[in-house]
Amino acid sequence: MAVISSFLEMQSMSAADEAIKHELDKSVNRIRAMSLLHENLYCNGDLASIDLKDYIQNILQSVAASFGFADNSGLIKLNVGKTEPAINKLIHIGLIINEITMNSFKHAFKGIEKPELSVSMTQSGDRITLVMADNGTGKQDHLDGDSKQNLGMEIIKTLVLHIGGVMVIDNSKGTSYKITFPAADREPNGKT
Amino acid sequence: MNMRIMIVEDEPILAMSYRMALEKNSHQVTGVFSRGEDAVNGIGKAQPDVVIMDIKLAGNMDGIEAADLIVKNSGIPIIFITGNSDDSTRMRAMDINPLQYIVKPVNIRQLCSMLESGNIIQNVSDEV
Repeated sequence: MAVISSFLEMQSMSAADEAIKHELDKSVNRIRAMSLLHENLYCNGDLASIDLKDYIQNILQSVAASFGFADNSGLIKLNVGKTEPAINKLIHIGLIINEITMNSFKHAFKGIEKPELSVSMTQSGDRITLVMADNGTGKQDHLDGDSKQNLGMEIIKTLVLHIGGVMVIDNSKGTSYKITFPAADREPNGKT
Repeated sequence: MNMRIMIVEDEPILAMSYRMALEKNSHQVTGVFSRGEDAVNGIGKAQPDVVIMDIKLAGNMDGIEAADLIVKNSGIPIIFITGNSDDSTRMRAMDINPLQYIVKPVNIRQLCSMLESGNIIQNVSDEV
């Protein structure tokens, strides 16, 4: 919940409109009020038993629904192979998927008659590869101009770096992101 | 007063939010680390005026151990930011005489205000 609060604070700082800042600040305060309960739930939950495919599916459906695509059966193609990412990486993988999905829905699908987003996650040895590709315009806010000015891309880059990954973006035909990262958490000596 | 600041925080979004807020307020973030041992090793290159240090970190060394080494080796002051506010942790943290001990969730605007006003240099025993 502290992360959610920080997202909103950053967005608030980026907003030029005082009314928007005010509304975001109100949300930050509400989340802070909720955080005590949720932190407790998070700390005592069993993340080890999470179903990765369900987790990703829920993120994709949630974002799609927030953009008015309640029925997204033909829109999103999800393929999750046998992958075993470190538990500590799950939340960051989820946030990366969330950011990329939001960008596809917000920017890439404008004017696209039959939008599609494919998401696959596979593992080979100790490396996991996440590929997300849309059939959109290839235009996404965070691919234009100075990426430092774009919060979404900053978040993606920060999280990819944090999980020890590398990312390749191709927007020559739609937009695709290929992110490869070690399945395991870092060893105590700092190596993956 | 603009300052050079190093951030040690294992949650990347929180570290990012601190960095954004500090840079927006004209401070210079000279290093961001998620592990205590990396922070201790990186302090020489980062050369900060102050270190913002989470207590619960990834890796073998917690924030108090890392801060202790940083203070002993370089004398650079520490601001602790932590989600753990139990008495024993607080007492351990107080042993290294930090500038501040702030419990999450952090009001980053307030943190920036403290840095800018110079109010960070005060007796933290009044705060905890």
